[in-house]
Amino acid sequence: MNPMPGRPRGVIVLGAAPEALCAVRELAALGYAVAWLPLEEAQAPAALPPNVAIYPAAELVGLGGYAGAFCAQVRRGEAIECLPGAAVLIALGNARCYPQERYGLPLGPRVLTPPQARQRLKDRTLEALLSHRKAHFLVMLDWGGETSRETAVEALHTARALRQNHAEVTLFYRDLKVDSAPLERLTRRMREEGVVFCRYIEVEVRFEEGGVHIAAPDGLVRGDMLILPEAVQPHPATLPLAALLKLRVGKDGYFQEVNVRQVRPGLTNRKGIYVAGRCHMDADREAALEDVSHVVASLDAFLHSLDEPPSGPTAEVERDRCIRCLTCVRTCPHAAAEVVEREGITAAYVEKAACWGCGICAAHCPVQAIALKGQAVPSWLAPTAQGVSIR
Amino acid sequence: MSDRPRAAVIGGGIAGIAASLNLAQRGIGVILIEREAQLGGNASTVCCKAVGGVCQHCGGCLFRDHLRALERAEGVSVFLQTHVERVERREGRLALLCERAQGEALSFEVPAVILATGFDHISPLAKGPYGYGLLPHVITGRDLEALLQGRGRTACNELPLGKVAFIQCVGSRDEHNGRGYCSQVCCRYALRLARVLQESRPEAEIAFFKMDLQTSGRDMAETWAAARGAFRIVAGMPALLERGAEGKVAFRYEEVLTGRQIRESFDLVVLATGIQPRADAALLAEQFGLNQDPSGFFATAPDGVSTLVPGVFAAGCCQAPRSIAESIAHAHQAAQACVLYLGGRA
Repeated sequence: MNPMPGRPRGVIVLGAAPEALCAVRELAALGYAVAWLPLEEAQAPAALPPNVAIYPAAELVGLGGYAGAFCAQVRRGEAIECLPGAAVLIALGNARCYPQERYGLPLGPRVLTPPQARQRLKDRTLEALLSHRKAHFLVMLDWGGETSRETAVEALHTARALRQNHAEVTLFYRDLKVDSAPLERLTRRMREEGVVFCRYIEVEVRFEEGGVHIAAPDGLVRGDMLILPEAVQPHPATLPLAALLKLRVGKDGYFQEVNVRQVRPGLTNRKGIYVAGRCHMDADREAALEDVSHVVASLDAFLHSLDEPPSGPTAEVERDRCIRCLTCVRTCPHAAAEVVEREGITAAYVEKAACWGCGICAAHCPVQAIALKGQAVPSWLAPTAQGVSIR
Repeated sequence: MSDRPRAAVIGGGIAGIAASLNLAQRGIGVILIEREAQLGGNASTVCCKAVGGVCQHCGGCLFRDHLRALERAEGVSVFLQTHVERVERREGRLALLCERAQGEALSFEVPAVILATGFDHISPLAKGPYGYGLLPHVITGRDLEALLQGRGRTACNELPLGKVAFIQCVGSRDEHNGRGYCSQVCCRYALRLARVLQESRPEAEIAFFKMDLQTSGRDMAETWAAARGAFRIVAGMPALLERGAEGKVAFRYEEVLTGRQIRESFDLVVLATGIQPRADAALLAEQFGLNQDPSGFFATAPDGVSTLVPGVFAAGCCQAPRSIAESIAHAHQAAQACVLYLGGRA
């Protein structure tokens, strides 16, 4: 019950996305010793807080232990090292691609993605086009399917940058997703600066006389260049990492938090392992970083609760009844059950610190060797002389 | 208990409860102050919107989950029917001089305060031409929630569910009424409610009148996938709602994409009203010395939870419009910032 825990705790951060750096900094500010495994080639940031250790070229080969006492097995060169941590935070980010089959158009001199357009603005290779007064860029959102939030916001920023370089910009959209105050401000400012917003349901794109023609509801719009946002997809390391750590992946291929209703933000199916940012949600940069703050807050509260005696029921195995059928190991959604040798008996064992008390193993055990212990009777189930009545 | 750092949470809605639980989990004693006679605030009036037994992630049940957790939590003292009358600063601590129901005075001295005072529903009367209260069968989304929560799905049998119109952005994104912001929640709850109505009466024709549908967010993905083809979605806002023939509601709207003006009548019109700062937000801001943003929500530093007054934090809808789940996540973050402020670590 000590609000200032004496023992220093470590957190293992996996991933190289900007969210990971943000998480590392926030956790370090909270006083945690952070072991950061980027898991891919990444430039180490110049200044890291002293309680952060970065392992740039390390490969994660396994994760042992349970909430409060994880151990990441890491290969560096020849040796395998064990990094301890009380919790794990995953911030892989996502991957980008140009969805050519969705648009039906290859990239080319007249078709750019927003990052390409920005790069050319920076390199000044758009200069010739921008110098003639009526350079006109057509930015197309939601074409052939919904554009993800992250790339749509990127396209908005690109459209604004082009407009600020004195180009005409027309932005085609179906539904403008402005469900945050900063985005609402951004689109309003863009309108004031002269970006034309044009709503459409169906449009036809043609390339003619060295220009792009879009037949929109308001008539034909002629432009010089078409800007098509990229699409996002799960980071390629998502599935292998999920398999290694026994984490759940959603139908869409992203990490699945245990409860999308965010009762415990970012918590995965395994106690003490959290996901943050764009490896589990579609978000623009600001929203992803905000998610990191939520997840770090939730993780920190969880690590504090480890100091308190465990509350709620946990599964317990009567080990001499166990027939080692591995049913509990297979059915446990939280990877809390394992078959181990202890006190001379090889039998199933449920780690208390990893158990949520869901009772699934107890329900499936063919020899009824597992029971939930420490279950308090809920306040609305009052015991009476006749048994139990529901108030 | 007495030697622990303490914090006060003002507002016993979902954000206030979540913030209190987070602090209690870290062993910090919390005083939870609620103006009304019961906890819950706006979140307690949200109904379950599961369709076909499948959760739509609306968060309606989270209030009860949290209330149950609060019953078990140690170190949270709840004061109902209490409101803050005056705030004084005493050597870096905040003294909250409160008043209880029967004029009884009460005061607390705490190093930190989390404000979680929530929001007011935008009154549908703000949009006079929509005839709320004058025309029959023009209701708000909140009325529909209350009906479904109070009487369950049987309430749908009494509603005229032939042709139903959902009108979005009633009061939100409306510069004329001084609310240029998006209320964030209305598109989501309206789409979920529409699916509930459709489940009860599959032959109902449901149309949405909108500016832009805000359907991003992980909790929305499944609902939006199911709703996309199921409803008629019209880009265009009605101007004036009138009494139509046979007790129907008639209105004219311009379809933005074609410029056509169309008159249509509906059996039921649901106004998706949004979120606005509480009427007493300005008073509270003055008591604590806070700034308000142009829309009237409490202004915070870029972290989204720290106000410009040291030791005062904002959580949930008093800072910006949020869904229930987002309010909970935000409350966790506010509690985190509060703990850092209390210096609760070595």
